[in-house]
Amino acid sequence: MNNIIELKNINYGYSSSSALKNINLGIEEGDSVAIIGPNGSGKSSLLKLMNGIIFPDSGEYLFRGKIIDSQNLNDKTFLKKFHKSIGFVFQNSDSQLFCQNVYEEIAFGPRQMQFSEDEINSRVRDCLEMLCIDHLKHREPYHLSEGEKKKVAIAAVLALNPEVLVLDEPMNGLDPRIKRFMKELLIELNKAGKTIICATHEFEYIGISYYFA
Amino acid sequence: MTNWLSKKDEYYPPKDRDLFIDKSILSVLTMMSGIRWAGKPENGVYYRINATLKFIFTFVLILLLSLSQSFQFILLCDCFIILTMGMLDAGDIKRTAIVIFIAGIFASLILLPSALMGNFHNSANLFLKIIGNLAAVNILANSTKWSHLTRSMKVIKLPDIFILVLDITIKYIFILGEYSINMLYALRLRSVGRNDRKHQSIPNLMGALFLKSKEMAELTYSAMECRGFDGRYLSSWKFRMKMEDFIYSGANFLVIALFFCI
Repeated sequence: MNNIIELKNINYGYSSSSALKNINLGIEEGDSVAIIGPNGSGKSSLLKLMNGIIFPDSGEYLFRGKIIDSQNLNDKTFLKKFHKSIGFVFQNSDSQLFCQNVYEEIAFGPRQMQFSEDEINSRVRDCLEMLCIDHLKHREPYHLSEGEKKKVAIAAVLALNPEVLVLDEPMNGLDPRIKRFMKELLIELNKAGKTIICATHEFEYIGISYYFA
Repeated sequence: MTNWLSKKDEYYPPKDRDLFIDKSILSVLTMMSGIRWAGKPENGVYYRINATLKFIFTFVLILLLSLSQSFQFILLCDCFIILTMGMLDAGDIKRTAIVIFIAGIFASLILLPSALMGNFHNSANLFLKIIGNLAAVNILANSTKWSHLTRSMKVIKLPDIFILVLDITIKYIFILGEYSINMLYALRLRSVGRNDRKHQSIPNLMGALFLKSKEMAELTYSAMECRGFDGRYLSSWKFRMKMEDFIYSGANFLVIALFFCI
């Protein structure tokens, strides 16, 4: 099977320190990968790099065999297709939620994909039901609890139907009930064919289905 | 699990322009790197000069420049300031030069009618004063850590509470800058198609940022109260002179002496 994501000798650093050093990683379609490490070990930098937010100082990042670098992402059609294929759930949900209510938040992606209003409605409804947040659809995102915000952030990304779902410490600040829910949801999404990449340091919520990186 | 999630979308993004997201990201990043990297001591010897001395002498130079009627002194003062500018690193020189250049254009446009009416001497003085003052302030801002700068304001007897407010303001400009950059990243990652209401996202981001800042302000105040804050704040201030501080002070005293001689 071909790798959907391939990192070759990746190095990335901030001006005073190195965040990623000689990273080599291959992820196949349908894999679920847990990236484990202590705080400050470069997990978030690696995920940002995979999402094309930052670019490596040296080395190559390939997504479906195509090099992801600032030059290729200047092609806006390619950029949008890439962002459509790989969804990113930020560590801090507050940074990700910027619409007036939960419904609009989830509809943001499908609306840009120029779906009909019926299709948008159906996608949003499905996402709300899947994440059990149907009752929140008219609420403002900033008035929600941490767990609810996280669910809305995941729903907003899922509405784009990405092939790869990247989550940066999704269990942070959640109660055990929601953590269990998240774990089951990720396993279900993986069974549905999604490639899951998850940075975490919560060993107990990582199922045996994960590869460790 | 719903059906559409198990299938791949046949999706080809329509053409759209979203330069404004990239430009916004770039401007926030520039602002943040300005705060983060200003005054790094490893940038050069000028960056290692005591912040209090730099603050005092910049203040005095601006005062002398404003008071002076002598063209020679103003020119000399400007030369001294430009000379100090040469001790900054290339990026800071560029930033300062851009500000001086833009201000210079505006100043000359404003002063041109006066110069044409025969007030050439006064116009030239005023032009040089504007350039000198702006350069001095920019050199100070670019070569000094913001936290050191606020701390050094204690020397002009600014109340500690005012220094605390300035410190917190700078800290939260940075924190909220990080929030806004992440929001812009999130907006870019989810901008996968054509968005005709693109500019509507900006007020949404601003609204979310405002609410976040309000929430953080309330939390900070509660945390300060819990730690016994009763409206008084004492900031510590240490003053130590090194070799570069003596040389810097000497050069500045020379300029001050010239004010009384010329």
